[in-house]
Amino acid sequence: MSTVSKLLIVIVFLVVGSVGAMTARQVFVVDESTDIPVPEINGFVLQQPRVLPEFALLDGHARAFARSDFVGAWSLLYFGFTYCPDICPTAMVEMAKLKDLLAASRPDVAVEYYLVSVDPQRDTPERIQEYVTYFDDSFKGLTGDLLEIGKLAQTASVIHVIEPSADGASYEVGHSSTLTLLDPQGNIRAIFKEPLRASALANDIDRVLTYVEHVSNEI
Amino acid sequence: MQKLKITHPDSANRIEKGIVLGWAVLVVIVILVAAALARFIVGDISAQEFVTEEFARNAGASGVNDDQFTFTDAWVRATPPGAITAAAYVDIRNLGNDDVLLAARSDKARHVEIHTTQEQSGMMRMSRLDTLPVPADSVVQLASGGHHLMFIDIPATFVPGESVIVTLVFEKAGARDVLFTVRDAR
Repeated sequence: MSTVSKLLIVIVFLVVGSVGAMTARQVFVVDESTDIPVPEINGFVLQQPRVLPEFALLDGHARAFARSDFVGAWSLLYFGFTYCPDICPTAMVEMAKLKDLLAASRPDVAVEYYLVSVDPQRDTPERIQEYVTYFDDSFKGLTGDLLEIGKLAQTASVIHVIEPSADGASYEVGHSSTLTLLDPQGNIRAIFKEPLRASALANDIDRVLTYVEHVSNEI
Repeated sequence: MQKLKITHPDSANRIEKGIVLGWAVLVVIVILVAAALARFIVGDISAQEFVTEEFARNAGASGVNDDQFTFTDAWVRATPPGAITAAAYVDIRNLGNDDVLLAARSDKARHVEIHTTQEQSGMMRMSRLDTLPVPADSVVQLASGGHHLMFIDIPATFVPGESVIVTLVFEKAGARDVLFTVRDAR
């Protein structure tokens, strides 16, 4: 074989190889583009679901509530306290509106709504039950030992602190004002931040649900 | 008889006129007495109503006020059962000179404080403000998620529709009574 032919063979190999590589790349890119991107929301979508630690809390009927009790339905968690005069009632009102919006737009999706107390000293199960049902009959309250609450709060990236006050009775509790979305396995999928407004939340949650459904189907 | 009627038409006319006049006088007297009685009986109530109306007009429920301040959208968030605090909101328009809100008080709370909510280190935190400047030609909004009046130690829950008088004390303009309406924000 002449050197010219050898050279030609090499060139042909190079050309075929390049075309193949480019085609493969194109196929790969096309595949990627049909993938649903992580939705942009007013908050954070966790691409890796965050697993909750074990914890022992009480519900509004003073019954034990553990991690496994989140299994079976989507959950939305707001961390706050019942003596909160401004931020929490606003969030609870928005959560009640959100419940109606999601019930209409996603009737197939079961969602439970929770207020998790960051002030268990004053928020007894009875007290929190009375408070949450003022906003919606189906809302649930969780309270209990501050350390146990801390496990849940920390995983949900919620920080909270009891503010010093002149007279001990009417202290305030500073806390992150976010809404945490758990999937029906009880893992954190998204965290929504202020401003927490029902219509925007319903929209964002819808997109997160679509995203999670798509990701789950791929697996 | 016929003759009598014919010969005295004037006197008959006079008698009829007298009766009509008598009745008219009686009716007028009855009306006057009734009016006087009514005034006597309900005088106090109408005076109160007048005061309330005038108060409402001046105090902000309708948004009409004095030369310097206009108070609009004055409301208290209806409280859930068992609440010990409540938040109140109002827009203060100052058409006069620079002033400062120094204090607020109401007989519906042990004390009323000026508070502000702000996001700080990843938390929503409430803090007490000693004073709140109300600059000339401006509207200072006390609204959910920002500045608000905080009722501390409320003896009873605030029921929607109820009216609450809050006295706002300004450094220069002095005190103003503002009528707040309790609103169910649910």
